[in-house]
Amino acid sequence: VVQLHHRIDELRATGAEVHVIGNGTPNFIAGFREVTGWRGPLYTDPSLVAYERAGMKRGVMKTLNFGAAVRTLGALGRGAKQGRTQGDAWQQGGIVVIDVGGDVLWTHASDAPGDNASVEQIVAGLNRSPPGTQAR
Amino acid sequence: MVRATLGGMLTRADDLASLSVLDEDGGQVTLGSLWRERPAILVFVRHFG
Repeated sequence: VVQLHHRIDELRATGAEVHVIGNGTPNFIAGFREVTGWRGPLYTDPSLVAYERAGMKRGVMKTLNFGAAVRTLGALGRGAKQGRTQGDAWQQGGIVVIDVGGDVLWTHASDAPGDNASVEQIVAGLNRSPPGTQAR
Repeated sequence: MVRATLGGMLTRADDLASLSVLDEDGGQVTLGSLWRERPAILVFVRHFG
């Protein structure tokens, strides 16, 4: 989210809006804004139903794996800080890009912490034609 | 429930559109309203923290 926050103008220049969805209770939203600096649309899905239907992954082994540990240690070494976990610790995140009308243009479901999509990948996804149609 | 997928990838957001999420005041927001007028980039974060 911090990476997206810094490059939000690039994403909005495509005509799309960025909506962040977390999974704690609504009263954690203010703290999330404070930690990340995110000022855009922000919601929460404590039931995790939207996560499930969006194809996001969940599981202990997806959270606790060697690659994730290395990335986390690297991030901490570069000065990043992880706040106290608010929400489901085993739930992974990801991105779904949806066109007006409901066609899903692109998705990324994280396999593990640190497995994040880049802004370039998201922009490429926005420029992709809906499945089953000809290229724009 | 039938999910619109192509090769395992979600192709339609119909299943998501009818779901509600909560805003910071605890109010319900229908997900489908987020891509009614412009494309939406939904960023699902691991957790708040």
